[in-house]
Amino acid sequence: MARVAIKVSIVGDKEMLRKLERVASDKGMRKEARAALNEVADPMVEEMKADTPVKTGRLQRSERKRVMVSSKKEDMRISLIAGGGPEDIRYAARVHETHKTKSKFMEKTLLRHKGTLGGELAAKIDLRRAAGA
Amino acid sequence: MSTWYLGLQPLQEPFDVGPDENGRALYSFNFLALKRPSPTFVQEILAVLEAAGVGQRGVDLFGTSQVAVPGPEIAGPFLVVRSTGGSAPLGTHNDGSGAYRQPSAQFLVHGRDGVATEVMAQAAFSALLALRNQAVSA
Repeated sequence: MARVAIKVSIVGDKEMLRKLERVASDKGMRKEARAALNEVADPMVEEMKADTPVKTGRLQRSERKRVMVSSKKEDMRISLIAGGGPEDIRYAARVHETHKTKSKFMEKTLLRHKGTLGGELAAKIDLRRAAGA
Repeated sequence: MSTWYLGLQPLQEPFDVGPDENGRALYSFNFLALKRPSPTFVQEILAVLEAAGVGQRGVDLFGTSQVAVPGPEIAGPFLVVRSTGGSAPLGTHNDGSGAYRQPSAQFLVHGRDGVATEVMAQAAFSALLALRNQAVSA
């Protein structure tokens, strides 16, 4: 119950899917993709923090991101995380789902970016640089 | 009037949020819909749940805009659907920029009996997962 988990799938355009196919199979590409994911995720974390109800600030401080590029399949992930962390925050899910402000800080951030995330990511993955050209 | 639903995407599995303000068990989950425009989203969702036998509107299925949520004297389980915004509309060439809408909804299941509450949450979740390429009437 410490964390909130929300999964949003993205149906990308053809250009993004082609890039993802190349990214998954090459180490240099995966490094480039990880950098692009971090670049796209940083503003999302800031938006999530801005939408979070603040009483002590501990929940807001616990909010962070994790990015993952799989080497085995065509899978790239941005995880937004609230709760847990060094202060072991256990009320993130409760605040997210039932707080009187109805802020749903994580879900709203993800859904706001859902439509544009694929394009943003594709724009940031420089295939020539990743291939060392 | 019926509305065409392409599907409902779950944002997570039903999970235990912890007791509500009246000490009842509380389970939550969220869905993102992909559908044609309509002014009765919450009522359409309630109709799907009712048709699947999850409950009955006004008895143990509630939309917060229509009915007051049962007070502490009600043991439940009962389910409350709340519209929570969602994602931007999708356009098509023929129908313009608002051809498909992506509203989201939160489902909160309250009940004194934790097992019955979870069972109702899972039943509602399964009923909504099954909704795909279907017309729904409010």
